Amino acid sequence: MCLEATGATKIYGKTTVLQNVSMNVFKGEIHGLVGRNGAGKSTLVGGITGLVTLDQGHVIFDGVKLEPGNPEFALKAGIALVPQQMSSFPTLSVGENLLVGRLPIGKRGLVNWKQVWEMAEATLKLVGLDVNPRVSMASLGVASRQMVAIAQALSRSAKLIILDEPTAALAKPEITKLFKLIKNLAESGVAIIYISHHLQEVFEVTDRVTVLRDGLSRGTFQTSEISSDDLIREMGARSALIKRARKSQTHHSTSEYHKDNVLLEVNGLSKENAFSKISFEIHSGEILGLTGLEGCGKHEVVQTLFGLQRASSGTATYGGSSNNAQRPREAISRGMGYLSQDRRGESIFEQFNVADNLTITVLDRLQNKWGVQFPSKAEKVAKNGISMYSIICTGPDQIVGTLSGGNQQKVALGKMLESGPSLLLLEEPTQGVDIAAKAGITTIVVEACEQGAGVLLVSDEIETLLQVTDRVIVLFKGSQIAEFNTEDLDSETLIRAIEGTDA
Amino acid sequence: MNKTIWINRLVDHLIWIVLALTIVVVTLTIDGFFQFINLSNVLLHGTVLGLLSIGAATALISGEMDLSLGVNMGFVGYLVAWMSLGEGDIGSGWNLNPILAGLIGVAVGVAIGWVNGSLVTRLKMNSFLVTLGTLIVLGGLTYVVNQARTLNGIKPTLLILGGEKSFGVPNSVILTAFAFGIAIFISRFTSGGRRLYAVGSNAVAARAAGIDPGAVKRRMFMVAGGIAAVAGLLIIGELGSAPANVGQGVIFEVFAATVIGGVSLTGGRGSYFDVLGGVMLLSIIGNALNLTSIDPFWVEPIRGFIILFAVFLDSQRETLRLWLLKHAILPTHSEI
Repeated sequence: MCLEATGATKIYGKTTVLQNVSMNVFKGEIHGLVGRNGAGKSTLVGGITGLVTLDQGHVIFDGVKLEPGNPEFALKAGIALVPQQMSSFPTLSVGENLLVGRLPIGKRGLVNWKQVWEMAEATLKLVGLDVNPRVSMASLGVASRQMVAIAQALSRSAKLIILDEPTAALAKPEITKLFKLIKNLAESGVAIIYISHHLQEVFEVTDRVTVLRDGLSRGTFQTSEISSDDLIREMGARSALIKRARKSQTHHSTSEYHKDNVLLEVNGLSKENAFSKISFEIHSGEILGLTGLEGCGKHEVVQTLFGLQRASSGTATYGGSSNNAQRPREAISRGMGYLSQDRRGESIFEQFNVADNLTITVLDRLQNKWGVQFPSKAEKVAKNGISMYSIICTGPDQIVGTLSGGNQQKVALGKMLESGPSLLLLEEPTQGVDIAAKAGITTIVVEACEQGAGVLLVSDEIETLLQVTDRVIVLFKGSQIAEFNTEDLDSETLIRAIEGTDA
Repeated sequence: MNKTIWINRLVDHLIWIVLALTIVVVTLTIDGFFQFINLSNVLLHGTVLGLLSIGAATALISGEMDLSLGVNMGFVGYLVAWMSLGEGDIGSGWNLNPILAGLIGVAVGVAIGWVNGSLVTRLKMNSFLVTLGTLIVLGGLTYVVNQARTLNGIKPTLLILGGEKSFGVPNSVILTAFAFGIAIFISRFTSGGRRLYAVGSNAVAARAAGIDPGAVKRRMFMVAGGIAAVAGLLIIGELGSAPANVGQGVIFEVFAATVIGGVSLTGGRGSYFDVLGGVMLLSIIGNALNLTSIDPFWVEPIRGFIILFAVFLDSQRETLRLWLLKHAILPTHSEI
C-alpha cells in the first residue's frame, strides 16, 4: 500500500465539504478520482498534499503518517501535485523552472549553469520531452509545459503524482502522448491519482476509480468492472427527487403569452478555436440553460453575444438588429445585460461603495439637464436596489469589497438589472454563494423573467439547471451536441450529455 | 457607527492634518513665514504645481500616468511667447495677437494629450513609457524653436494671467483655485467624473458596464494636456520671461504632491481636494526652506527627505486606520 487516507473530514463554517472519506492507492497504480464540481475532490487532494488541514482523519504515505496541513512534509515524503492551472515562470528557462528553489550552486556561491542544464536534460529525459532546457518556458506549448511539470515532480523523486485535470488544455495527440507517459510511470512503480471530468479518459487510463459525491465517498471500483452508466449514476445529482422551482404556476401563463416573442435568435454563430455553428432562440419569459465541461466554449459564446469577443461567422439577432454587438455598450443599449463568472475581475468595483456600483450603468439617467448629478439621487436609487435585491449591507456607503460573496453577487446582478435589460446573460450566478443568497439570486432572476425578460443561464450546477431553466443546451468541445426540454430531463441524462459519453 | 465614519474621514483626509501641523510648526520656528506677503508667495508657488497636479491626478485616477505634463507646460509657454514676439525681441517675428497665440498654445497642449492618449489606448502602449518619450521629445523641441534662447519682453496681455492681481489676489491663484473647484465638482457630481474612477478601478468591469475605457482615457489625456498648457500661459506671466528649460524636472514634485494627496498609483482612488492639500504642503515646505539660513545646496536633499517622509505617512494610512478603529480614541458623537 502506497497511500492510505482514512476518515478524511473537512468542515467550512456550516458546510461539510468532505465527510469521512477513505481512499487507498497502491504502488504503481493509476487511480481515478471523479465527481461533479463541489463533490470534494480538491479538498481531498488538498488533505493529501497538506494544502488543506483536515478536521478529522489522517493520511499515511509509505508507512509514514503525514503531518496535517504541512505541504512541505508531504512534498518531502514524495507526494507531488501537478495542478490544473500550472504555476510556472514563463519568462525563465525550462531548466530554471525544473530546479526552481534548488539551483545547484558552485564553489564561489554562484549558480553552476553547466550543472543546471545537465540536471535539466536528465530530468526531461524521464518524461521523454525533447526540448532544450535553455529556452524560455513561454516558448513551449501547453502540453510540453504539462510534461515539464510532471518532470519536475519526478525530479523531486515523487512516489505519488496527483494530476488535476491534466488534459483540460490538450489536443488529442498530446493526450495520447501523456497517457503513454502516465502508463510508463505507473509501470516503473510510481502511483498516480488522476482527476478528470472526462470519463472516457478515466476508462482509458485508470486501474481503479474512486467516486465522490457531495463530500461523501461512493466507493472505489475496479475500472474494468464498472460501466460508464453506473459511474455516472454514482456521481449523480443530490437526489432524484429534484423538483422544478418554477414549473407550472407562473411559468405557463407568461410563456403562453409571449410565445411568439423571440428576444434572441442566434444563427450559426462560430468563433475559431472556441465554438462552431451555435444556433438557438430565447423567447420572452424563458430561461435557457447553457452548460458543458470547462473549455467547451460556453463562456466564449456568452462573451461574443455581449460584444466582448468577436465571432468569425454567424449572427445574433436581438434588440432590432441582426448584427453581432461590437462592444458591450452597444449590447447594453440593445437591451442586453451580462453577469460575468469572474465577479471580482469583471463585474464589481471592489473599492467602490454599493451606490456607486449599482448606478454605474445608468449614470446618464441620474443627471439633471445641466449634466449635474447629485449623490443624493444615486443614494436613492441604491436604497431602492438594496431593498429590491435584499442586499445585506450597512447602507449605500459600504464598500462592496467588504460584503460577503453572496451580497457582492447581488450587487453585480442589481447593477446589471438597473439598466433595464430585456435579455440577461448570466454566468454561474450562484457560484460560491451560501444557500440563502442562492435562493435570493434565483428569485431575482425568476422575477425578471416573469416580467418578460429572457435569460441565458450558463451554469455547471445540474441542480440549478434542472430547477430554473425551461430548456438546456449542452456544448462539448465547441459544438452544440444536445438540447433538452427541462421538464422531461433527469440529471443522469444531462450529466451523460455533458461528459460527452452520449453524443 | 458614527465613530467609524469619523475615523475613516480623518484617515482619508489625513493630509489636511499634516498640513495644519506643518503650518503651526513652521510659523513657530521660522521668522517671516506667517506674513501676508510670504503667504501670498506660498500660494503663488502652488499655482503651477497645483494645475499640473490636477492633470497628473486625473491621469492616475484613470489608471494611467502622464509624465509629459511639465514639459508640455514649458513647451506651450515658450511657443506662445515666441509666436507673439517680433523679430527684434528674438521672437518669431510673427507678432501674433497674444490672445490668439494663447488659444493656439492651449490647442497644442490638448493635441499633445491627444497624441499621448492615442498611443496609449489605440496602440496599447504603456503610458509611463509613452509619456516618458513625449517628455524627452518636447523638452528637446522647446530648445529647437529658438536655439534655447530665453525670451524676454513678454507681451503685456500674456502677463495678465500670471503676473497681475485682481482685488489684491494674484490672478493665477484665483485661476488655480477655480480649477480645483471645477475638478472637485466634476469628480463628484458628473457622470464623466464617475466614469473616470470606474475605468481606473477596474477597466474590464467598466467595459462590461458599457463604458469605453479607451475613449475615457483619450479624453482624460487631452484634458490633462489642456490644463498643462494653461499652466504654460501662467508660468510665463509669473516669470515675466520664457526660459527654454522651464518646466523641466517639475514633474517629480507634481507626482509627489499628487501621491501625498492620497491618489493611488494603481488607479481608481484619489480626491482632488486632498491633492490640493498635498500641493500646499509641498509649497510651504519649499518656501520655509528658502526662508531659513540653511546652505542652499542642502535645500534640495532636505526637501527630498521631507517628501519621502510624507510618502511614508501615506503608505501607513491603512495601518493607522486599523489602529484608530481598534483603539477608537475619538469621542462617540461628532464633536470634531
